[in-house]
Amino acid sequence: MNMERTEALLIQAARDGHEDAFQQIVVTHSAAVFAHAYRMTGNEQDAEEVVQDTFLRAYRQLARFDGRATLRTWLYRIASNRAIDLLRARKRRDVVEPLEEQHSEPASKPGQDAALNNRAIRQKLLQALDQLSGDERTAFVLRHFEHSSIAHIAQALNIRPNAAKNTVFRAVSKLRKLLKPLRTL
Amino acid sequence: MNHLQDIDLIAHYYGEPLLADNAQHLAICPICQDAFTALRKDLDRFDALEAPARGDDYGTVVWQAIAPRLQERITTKGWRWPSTPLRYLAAVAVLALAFWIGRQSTQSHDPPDTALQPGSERLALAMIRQHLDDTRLVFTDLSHGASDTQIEQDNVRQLVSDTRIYRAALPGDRIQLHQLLDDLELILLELAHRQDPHLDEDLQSHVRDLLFKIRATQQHIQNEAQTASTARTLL
Repeated sequence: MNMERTEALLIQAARDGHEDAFQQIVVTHSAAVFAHAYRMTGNEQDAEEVVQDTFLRAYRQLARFDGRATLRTWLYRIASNRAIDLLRARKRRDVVEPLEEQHSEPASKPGQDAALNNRAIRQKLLQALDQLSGDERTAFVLRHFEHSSIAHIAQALNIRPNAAKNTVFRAVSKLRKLLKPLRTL
Repeated sequence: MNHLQDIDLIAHYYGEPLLADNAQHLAICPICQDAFTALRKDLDRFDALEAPARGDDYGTVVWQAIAPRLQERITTKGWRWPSTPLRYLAAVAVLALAFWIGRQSTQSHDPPDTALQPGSERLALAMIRQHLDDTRLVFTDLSHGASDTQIEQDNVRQLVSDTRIYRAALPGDRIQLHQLLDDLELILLELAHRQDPHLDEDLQSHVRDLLFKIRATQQHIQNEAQTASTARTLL
């Protein structure tokens, strides 16, 4: 039995109230949804919250899943929306939450410079991602990290493929402009 | 021939084949080759943003975390306060009593310290936090244009009823929580009676504002509970 057929059966069983079928969906997709949520939020704790909310919402909305997109693309779409909410709330709070908690570092020793430099670069990358709109960030994360096709991104954002391609283009252009200072590193 | 556009180079970076003319041009044009190399260097940097690894049992851990909440949502969105008038009053009385007992037992401590937050009040606040969580999920769906099905409408009406119960039972000095529940009731009522499933910009904006307030309040309640827990440990 191919994977799509297995997935369709699982979804149908979950819709019919078989919790073990939905459990299988959660077990199969949790790690991927977490990775997506983490890249969307840049924060481990927020990503965990997004994962749980995504599956709770997916369960409630199973009847709405029409099978046009893959289950994973649909889950990414739900996770992206939730992550965008968190990002909005974060901006409203005007709090910068770094990807990793910033600890006060002791004076660097030889060998630590590279690690500190890497951390600084990661910080810059995250700050740049934070400057993107919700759709741009979703499109970029799906394209760059999940290696999604333009068609999948279009499904996840519920837009036309051309619009999805342009969204990726806008995201990359913004990011490159924001990351210009890094080119000297 | 014209140089390749950035949008083509980006598509190429992500593995899409170039048109034959573009591919030939890229093969011989140093300007386009430099542009592509610079693009690749910029985008390759993002490979450093790997997500932290999760254990093999991560899916099971997630399942265990959500399974109890899932069960609540299967059966008419979980346990709800009853809606008949007499039962409504009883529900308010139970909650109000929980807060009152909490306050009385706090006052009997020496020294008095609201941070102690006894069990009954803690339980009542946990219920309000869960109520805010349910409301937040509905608001999030609506703010993203989820279709407003009959189930959602019923759910919203139930949330209106629950909001009234919690507000009626809440002690008067919980001013911020009172204000939030007031705001929630207004918006939920409007949503419950709407015919048009799509929210206009104004309502969307209200819903987004409330989402922010709900999240902040949930965090506040959680912090309060943690402070109380720490205080009890220290005693």
